[in-house]
Amino acid sequence: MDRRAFIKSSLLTAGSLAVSPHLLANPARSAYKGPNVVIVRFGGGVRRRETLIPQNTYCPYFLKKLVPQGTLFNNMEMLDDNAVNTSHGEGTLYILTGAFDEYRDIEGKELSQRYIPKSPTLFEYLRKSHDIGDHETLMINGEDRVTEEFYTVSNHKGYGIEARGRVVSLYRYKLFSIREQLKNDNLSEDKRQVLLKELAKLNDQNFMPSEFNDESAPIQKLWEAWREHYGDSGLLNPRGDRLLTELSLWSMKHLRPRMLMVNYNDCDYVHWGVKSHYTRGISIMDLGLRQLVDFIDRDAFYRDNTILVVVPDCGRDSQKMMAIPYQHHFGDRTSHEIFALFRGPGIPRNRIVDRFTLQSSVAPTLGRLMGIDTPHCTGPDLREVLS
Amino acid sequence: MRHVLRQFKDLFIGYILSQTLATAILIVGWALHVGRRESQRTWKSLAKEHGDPLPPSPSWILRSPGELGRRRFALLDNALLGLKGIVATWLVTWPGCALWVFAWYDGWNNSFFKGYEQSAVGPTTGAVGMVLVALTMMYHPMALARLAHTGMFRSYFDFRIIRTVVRQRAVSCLIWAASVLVLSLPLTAVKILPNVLPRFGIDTSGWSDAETLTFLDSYYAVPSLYAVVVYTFLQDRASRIYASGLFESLRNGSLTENDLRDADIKEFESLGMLPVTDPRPLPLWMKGLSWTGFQLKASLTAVGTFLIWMTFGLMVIAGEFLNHQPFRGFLNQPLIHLPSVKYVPDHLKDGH
Repeated sequence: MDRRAFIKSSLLTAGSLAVSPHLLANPARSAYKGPNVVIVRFGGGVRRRETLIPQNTYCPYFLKKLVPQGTLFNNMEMLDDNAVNTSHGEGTLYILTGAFDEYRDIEGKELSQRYIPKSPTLFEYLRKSHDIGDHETLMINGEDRVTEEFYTVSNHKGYGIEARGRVVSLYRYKLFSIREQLKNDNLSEDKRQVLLKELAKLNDQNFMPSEFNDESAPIQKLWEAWREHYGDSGLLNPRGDRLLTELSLWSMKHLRPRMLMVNYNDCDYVHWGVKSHYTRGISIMDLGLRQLVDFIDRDAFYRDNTILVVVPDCGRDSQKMMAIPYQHHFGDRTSHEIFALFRGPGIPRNRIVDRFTLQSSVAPTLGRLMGIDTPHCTGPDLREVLS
Repeated sequence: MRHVLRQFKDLFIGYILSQTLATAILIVGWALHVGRRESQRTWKSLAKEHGDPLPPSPSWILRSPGELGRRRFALLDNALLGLKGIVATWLVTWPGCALWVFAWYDGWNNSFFKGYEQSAVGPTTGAVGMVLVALTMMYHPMALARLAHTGMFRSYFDFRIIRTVVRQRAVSCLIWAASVLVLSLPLTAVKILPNVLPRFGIDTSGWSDAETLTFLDSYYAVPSLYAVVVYTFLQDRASRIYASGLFESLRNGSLTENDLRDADIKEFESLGMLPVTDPRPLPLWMKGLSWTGFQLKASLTAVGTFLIWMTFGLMVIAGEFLNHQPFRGFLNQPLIHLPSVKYVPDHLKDGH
C-alpha cells in the first residue's frame, strides 16, 4: 500500500470520506449570513519585541494604525507543554483547529511537517454547517512550505475532504499552468517531457489523496486570469510574502471568499542567517497587512462585514548568548509568546487585554463571532471580543 | 619547578590576550617567535656545526637575557611580528573568506527571491570561496613559518621557496592540515553549543545582560586556553616542517643558494650547512624512479590536503548555520587567523 492509499484509507477509517457525500448534503446547512473572516498568520514566528514594543517595532502600520482599531491580546501564548511545538506547521494548525494536538510527520520523517489535522479546521466547521462553496474558504500559502497546502482538512470523524478549504498558492498555479501548457498540441517532445517531469515532481509533494490536486472551476478561472497577466515563467509575479499579498488581493477580488487565511512566512528566513532578514520580513508583512486592510475597507463586499485576525504562528527565541538569537525550535520562553489582534464589526476598538490567553482560543472565538459551532476546539473563548 | 611556573604564566598571559581580537595579535607574534625557535632548533639538529646556542623561549613582555631581537621589550616584538603575520594571513586567506561573507548574505536572500534568476549566485560564490580558501591554505602554513623564521613580511611571498617546501614535505603538510581540522572541531562545538542550551533545559531568555556576560566569561575560559595552546603548537609544528623541508630542498637540489635570501644564506653558513651536498648520489635510472615517485606522492597528497581544507571549509559553513557570528565567523578561524574564541554578541556589548 503506498503512502496516498494509506492516508486515504485512514481518512476513510476516520469516517471523513465515508460521510463526505452526505456531509454537504445536510439539509440543515443554511446560507451563511455571518461576517467574512480574514486570518493573517503573522509568521513565520515573530517576537513581541520587534512587533509590539513601540521603540523596537518593525511593523508601524500594525502597531500604530491597526491596533487602535481593534482588541489586542498582548499576553497570548502557545501552551507550554512538551507536546506543543513552537513551529510554523503546528502553530498554523493550532490557529485553525483551536486545539494543541501533538503532530508527527505521517511517515515519521525527520524535519518534515506532513501533518493531517487531528481536530476539524475552521474551514470544515464553516462548510459543514453552511452552504458555502469550496472556493469561498481559502488558504493563501507560500512557495516554501508546500506541506501547509494540505492542512485544510482533518481526519476527524464527521468532517473531511468534502468540507475542506481550498488553497491558492504558487504550487497550485504551477499545477494549473503545466496542465494548460500540456494541452498545447504544438509542444515539442522535449518540452513535453520536461513539463511532465515537473508535474510529477509537484504531484509527488502532495501527500494527500490525489483529488487534492484537482482544481475547482472558480479557482481555475482565477488562474486563467493570473496566467493571462503573469504568464508561465514565474519570473513576473512578486515573490515571497509580497506574492501572498497579491494572491490574497486577487482571491478577494475574483472569488469573494468568506473565510481567508494568509500564511505569511518571510520573517522566518532569518533563522541563523542575516539579522536584517528578520526585520525586513516583518516590514514586508506590515506592508501586506496595510494593502489587505485597504482592500477590505474599500470593497463593498468586505467593508464593515469582515473580521480581521492577526496572529503569529509562533514566537521566536531570545537566546542572549547568540549574535543572531532568533531561532524558534528550541522552545524557550519567548518562542511561546505571541499576540492576537481582532478587528471588525462589534469588536471593541482600542482595547488592550493584558490577561494570559492561549493561541487555541482564536478558533473557537472566531466560531462564536461567525455563529458556527466549534465543538472540538479546546481553547476557551476570548470573551473580550464577544461582549 | 621554575619551568612549570613559567608555562603557567605564559598560559595565563595568553588567556588574557585571547579575550579580544586586537590583543590576540600579540599571541600570533609570540607563537611565531616560538615557531622561529623551533626552526632554529631543527636546523641545529641537521647542521654540521652548532653555531650560537639556541636562544631561550620567547617572552611576552620583557625580553629574557640571550633572547633574539634588538629591542628590550618583547611585547613590541610580538606586536610587530604578530602584525606582519596576521596581515600576510589576511591578504592571502581573506579573498576566499570574504566570498563566504557575500555568499552567506546572498544565499539567504534566496529566501526572499526564491529559486529563480539569481538563485545560483550565493551558493556558487560560497563554493568558489571554499576552493579559494582550500588552495590558499595549501600555501599559507609554510609561508607563515617562513615569515616567522626570517621576521620579514616579504618572505611570506617567496612563492618558489614555499611551493618547493610544500611539495618536499607534502605528507607533513597533509598531516598538519588534518590536525587543524580535527583540533578545530572542539572549537566549532563550543561555538554551536549556546544555541542548543534550551534543549538541555537552560532557558537564557530571562537572564539579565550581566548574568549572560558572567556566564560567557566562564564558558569561554577553557576554550580560550585551548585555542592559545593549540595555535602555538600548530605554529611550532609548521616551523619544524618548514625548516626540514627547506633543508631537504637544498640538499636534493630542488632549491639552490640562488633561490635564497641573503639572510637565509648567512644563517645556513653560520651553521655550516652551505654548500649542501647530497650524501648519496644516485644512478640515473634510480633518479628517474625517485622523481616519478616523488611527483606521484606530491600530487596525491596535494589532492588529499586540498580535500581536507575543503572539509575544513564545510565545517566552517556548517558551524555558521548552527550559530552565525556576523563577519567574524567567516573571517576569523581561531587556529588560522587570530586565536580568540570569545563570542560575545553585540547586543550584550552595547548594553541593549
